[in-house]
Amino acid sequence: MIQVENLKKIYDGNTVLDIQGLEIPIGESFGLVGNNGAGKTTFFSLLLDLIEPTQGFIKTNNVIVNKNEDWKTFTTAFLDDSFLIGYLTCEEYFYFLGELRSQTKQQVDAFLLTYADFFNNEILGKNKFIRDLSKGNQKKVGIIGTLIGNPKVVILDEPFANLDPTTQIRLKKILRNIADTKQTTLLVSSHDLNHTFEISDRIVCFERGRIIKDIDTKQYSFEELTSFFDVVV
Amino acid sequence: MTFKQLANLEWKGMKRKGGMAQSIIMAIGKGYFGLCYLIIMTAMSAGLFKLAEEEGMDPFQGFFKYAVYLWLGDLVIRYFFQKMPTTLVKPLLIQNVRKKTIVNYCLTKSSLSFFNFVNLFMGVALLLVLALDYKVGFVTSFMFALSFTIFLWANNFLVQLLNHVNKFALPFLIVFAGVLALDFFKYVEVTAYTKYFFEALYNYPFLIVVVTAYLIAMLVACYRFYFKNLSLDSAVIVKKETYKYYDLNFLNRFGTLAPFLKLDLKLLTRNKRTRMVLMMSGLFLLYGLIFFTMDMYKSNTFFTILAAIMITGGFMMLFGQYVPSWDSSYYPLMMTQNIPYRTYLESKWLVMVLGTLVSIILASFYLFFGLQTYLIIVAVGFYNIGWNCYLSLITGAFVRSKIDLSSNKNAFGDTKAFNVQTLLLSIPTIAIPMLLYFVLTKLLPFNTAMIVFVAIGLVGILLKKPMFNLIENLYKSQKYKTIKAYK
Repeated sequence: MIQVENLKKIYDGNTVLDIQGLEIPIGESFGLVGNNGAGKTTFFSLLLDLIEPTQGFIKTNNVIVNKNEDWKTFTTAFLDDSFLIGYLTCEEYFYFLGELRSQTKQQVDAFLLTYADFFNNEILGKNKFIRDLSKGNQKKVGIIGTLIGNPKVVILDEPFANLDPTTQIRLKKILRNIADTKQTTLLVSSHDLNHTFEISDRIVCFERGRIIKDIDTKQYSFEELTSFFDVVV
Repeated sequence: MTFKQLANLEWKGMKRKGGMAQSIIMAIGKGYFGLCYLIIMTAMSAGLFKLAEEEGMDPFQGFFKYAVYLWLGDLVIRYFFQKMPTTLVKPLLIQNVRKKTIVNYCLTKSSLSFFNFVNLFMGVALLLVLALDYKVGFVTSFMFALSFTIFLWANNFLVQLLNHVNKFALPFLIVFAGVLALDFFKYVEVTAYTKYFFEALYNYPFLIVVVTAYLIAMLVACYRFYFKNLSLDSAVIVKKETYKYYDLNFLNRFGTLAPFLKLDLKLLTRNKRTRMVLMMSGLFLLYGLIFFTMDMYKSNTFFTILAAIMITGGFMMLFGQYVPSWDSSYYPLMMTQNIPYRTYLESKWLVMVLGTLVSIILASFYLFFGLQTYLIIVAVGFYNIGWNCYLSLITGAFVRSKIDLSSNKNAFGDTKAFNVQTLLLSIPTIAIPMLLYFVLTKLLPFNTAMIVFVAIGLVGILLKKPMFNLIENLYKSQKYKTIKAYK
C-alpha cells in the first residue's frame, strides 16, 4: 500500500528524516514510536504532501503523493487541531467531511451512532462550535472525523495524548477493531509504547530521522518489546 | 524585565516573521501611503484658512468651523489603520514582569505611532500659517497650535479604547456618517456648535489646561482598561455564541462546489473578522453616494467609474485578497481532503462571483441617479466578475498572512479587517478597468463602449479554463510555502 523510496528531508543542512526504504502492506496496523524530534510528524506530513521531500518519494497505492493528488480519495488524517474547523458544530464538521467523501447525511448519522460511547455525551447534539470545546473533546472529533467514509489509509499523530484514561481505552478498542478488519491501513504514532503495542501489528521506531527498529508485535511479549526499545523509548 | 528587553523581543518577532522580500515591497508602499497621508493632513490643516476665505468666510471662523473634521478624519483613519500595541503579552503574564511594566510598555509604544507625528506636523503647519501668514502673535499662535495638537494626540488613546470595545465600532461609524451627512445637507449645522470649542481654545490660551486634562484622562482610561484586561480570562474568554441553524441545502445545485460554498457562508457569518468584511462590503456599496451626490464629482466620469468599481467590487476585494488565508487555521485539513486543489479554488472564485452579483443587484438603488450611472455599475460589475475575481485569487496567493478568525475576542489582538497591504494590492484591480474605460469611451460612443466593456467581462468568464490552469499552477507552486506560513 505504502512504499517509501530513499526518502530524505533536509532543513538547512540538517537531515531530519532519512528512510532508505519502507513498505507498509494493505490493512496493516502500523505503529510509529520515537522521542520528540525523531521525525514522526515529518514523516506523516510527507505522507500527506504537506511538506516537500528533499529527495526520494512516497507512493501510496501506486500514486506518488507529491506528484498526483489521487491519494486524497482514500487517505484521511488527523495530525493536530489545524485539521478542525473551529466555527462549525461537530455535526456540521462530520457532514462536511462526509460530503467530501460522498456520504449522505443519513450514512454519517448512522456512522456517528456507533461512536456514541466514545463521545460520552459531550459532543453530539450540543450545538456548540468546535472552537468552544475542550482540547480533549476537539481531539475526539478530529479522530472520529478521519474514520468517516471507510478510508483505506488512516493517519493519526499522537491520538492518545491529551485524552483521559477512559477515552484512551475506548480509542484503543476502536482502533483495534479497525485493525482487525484488515481493510484499512492504520498509521498511528505515539511516544508511548503501551498504546501502540495494543493496536499495532508492527512497530517501527525512529531515532533522529532514521529507522532503528522494525518489529512484528505478535512475536514478542510487551516486556520483550520494552527491553528492545529501552534504548530510546 | 525592562522596557529594553520587551522592545528586544518585539524586534525579534518582527525580524523573524518570514516573508521578508514581500514585506519590503509592502514597506515601500506603506511608506508612500504614509507620506501622502502626512502631506494631505498637513496641507489641510494649513489650507483650511484659505479654503474658508475662498468660500467667502472669515478665515479664522472657517477654520474653527471645519477643524472638527480634521479631528474626526484623524480619528477615523487611526481607527482603521493604527496598529494596536500588540506586544507579546500573553506569554509574559506569568513571567516575572509587573503588570505595570507591560501596560506602560504598550502605551509608550503606541505613543510613538506614526499618526502622532502627523499630528505634530499639523500643529507646526498651523503655527506657521498663523504666525507668518496672518501675523498673529507668536505666543497666541503657539498656544493654539499646541492645544490643537494635544487635542489630536488624545485620539491616540481614544482610538485604542474604541478598537477594543467592539460594540462601539458600528455605532461610531454610523454616528460619524450621520453627522457628516446632516451637516453636508445643511439640516443641522453641527460645525456651528463645535466651532465654539476651537474658537475658545484660540481666544483663551489658558484652556490648554483643559485639553491637557482630556489627554491625561484618555491616557489614564487606557491604562486602566489595559490593566484590568491583562488577565487571561477577561481578555480571552468570550461570550459563547449560540449556534444558529440555517438551511443551506439550496446551494447543493452547485454540485461538487456546494460543500465549500456552504462552508464559506458559515465562515463569513460566524467569525468576527469575516463579519467585519461583510460590514465593510456594505459600506463600500454606499461609496457611490459620496460621488453621485456632490456637484463637483457628478459630471466627472473618473469618479463614476471609481465608484462603480468600489460598489461592485467591495466584497470581492475584501474577501478575495485573503483567499486562501481565511482557511489558514485549518489549511492542512483542506489540503488532505478528497478535493482537488482546483475545485477548492473554483469554489472560492464562485463565492466572489456570487458576492459581486449580489452587490450589482443591491446597487440597483443607484437607478435613482439615472440609468446611465447604473449601466456603468453593471458594466463594471461584469468586468469585476470576468477579470478582477481572477486577479484577487492571484494576489491572494502571495498574501499568505495567517488569519485569526476570532481575533477580536482578545483585548490585545489586532482587530483589523483590512490594512494598507490590501489597499496596495488593489491598485491593479482599480487601475486596469479605469484605463480600459477611458480608452473605450474615447474611441466609441457611450452605449457601444458599455457593451464592449460588458463583452470584455464575459470574455473573462469564458476564459475560465485557461485562467484556472494558471491560477492552479500558481497555487500549487506556492503550496508548501503557504502551509508553512500558516503554521
